[in-house]
Amino acid sequence: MEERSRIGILGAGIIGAGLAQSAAASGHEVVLVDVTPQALSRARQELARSVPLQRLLGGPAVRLEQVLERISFSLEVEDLAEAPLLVEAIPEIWETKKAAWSHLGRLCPGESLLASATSAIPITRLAALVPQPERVVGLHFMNPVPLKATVEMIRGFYTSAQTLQSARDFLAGLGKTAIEVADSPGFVSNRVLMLTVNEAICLVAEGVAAPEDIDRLFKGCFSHKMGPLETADMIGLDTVLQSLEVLARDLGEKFRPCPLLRRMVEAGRLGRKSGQGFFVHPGLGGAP
Amino acid sequence: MNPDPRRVALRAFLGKLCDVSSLGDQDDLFAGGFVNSLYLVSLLNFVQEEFTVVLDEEDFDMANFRSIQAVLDFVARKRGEA
Repeated sequence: MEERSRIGILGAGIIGAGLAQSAAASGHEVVLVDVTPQALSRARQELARSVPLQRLLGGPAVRLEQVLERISFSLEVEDLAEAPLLVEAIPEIWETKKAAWSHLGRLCPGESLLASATSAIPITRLAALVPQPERVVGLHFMNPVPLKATVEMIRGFYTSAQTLQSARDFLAGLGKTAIEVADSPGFVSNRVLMLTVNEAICLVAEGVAAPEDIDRLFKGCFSHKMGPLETADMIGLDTVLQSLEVLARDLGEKFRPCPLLRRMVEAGRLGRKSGQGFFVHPGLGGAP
Repeated sequence: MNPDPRRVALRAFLGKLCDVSSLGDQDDLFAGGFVNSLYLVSLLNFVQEEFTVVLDEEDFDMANFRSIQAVLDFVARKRGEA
């Protein structure tokens, strides 16, 4: 494997761990930081599961030990200070992001590139929290990161051409292609997707069509690989609800979450991760 | 095609994911579109739990999961029966 620069990742959730795997598999040294030991041990377990699985599915042809020897797991945010490129992948809660970005701005020297993996929060809002906001860019990775070759790259109000080029080069090194878009809540992908998913849920609630028929229409008529409700189940209905709430705050009424979605989340029907959402997912409920 | 218990259990499991009525034991589960890659995860979980085998890293090879027969052969090998 080619030697590449050090990458810092803040947040060892699904996206953070997936990116750590992707970067390590491409030869980067990775520092993966989270604030609880539980999150780090979950990330280790997730890697042990996903490295062989994704190799099986056509992802990076590396072994678990090769990936693990390039990742250092840490509880100290200060360990990120030396990384020339840092990606924040913490939960989509504005107060949490705000605190983290204010801290990162003070911690990381002026020349390091700062990226957020947010799927909904405007990049300019995060960039405004740090000195030299021209070095901040949005990198909206899709899940599972090692298998998804396309990344939505968000140009904030301040983002410089040099920052965009460095981010593009980094992604190219991971075998990924960036599609550049301007800043907006939810960017392109989630503005369109969440509206579609929410509307599909409204149709279920109104009794217009059953979930399987809604999805069959998208697959059969538009050649989508997956319908909107199976997609929602895969993303997690709690995440869908959270994203819609962020979008509704910024873009108004049309993103107001369907009451059925709220009810399902309250009932713990979260999709694949809980074993049931709009569809039953045998063998997946409670799976690690 | 002897309906041995493992074969029956595996077909019943796959039946929850897709229509297996026209699926032969040698048919490619993935190329035929019977099982999409998302459900490969649940197939792997099922194989480990139902047939009490523990997958090692080198077992993650598509050749072991390509068809019903491939899965049954793999399980037999793992359990030292073949």
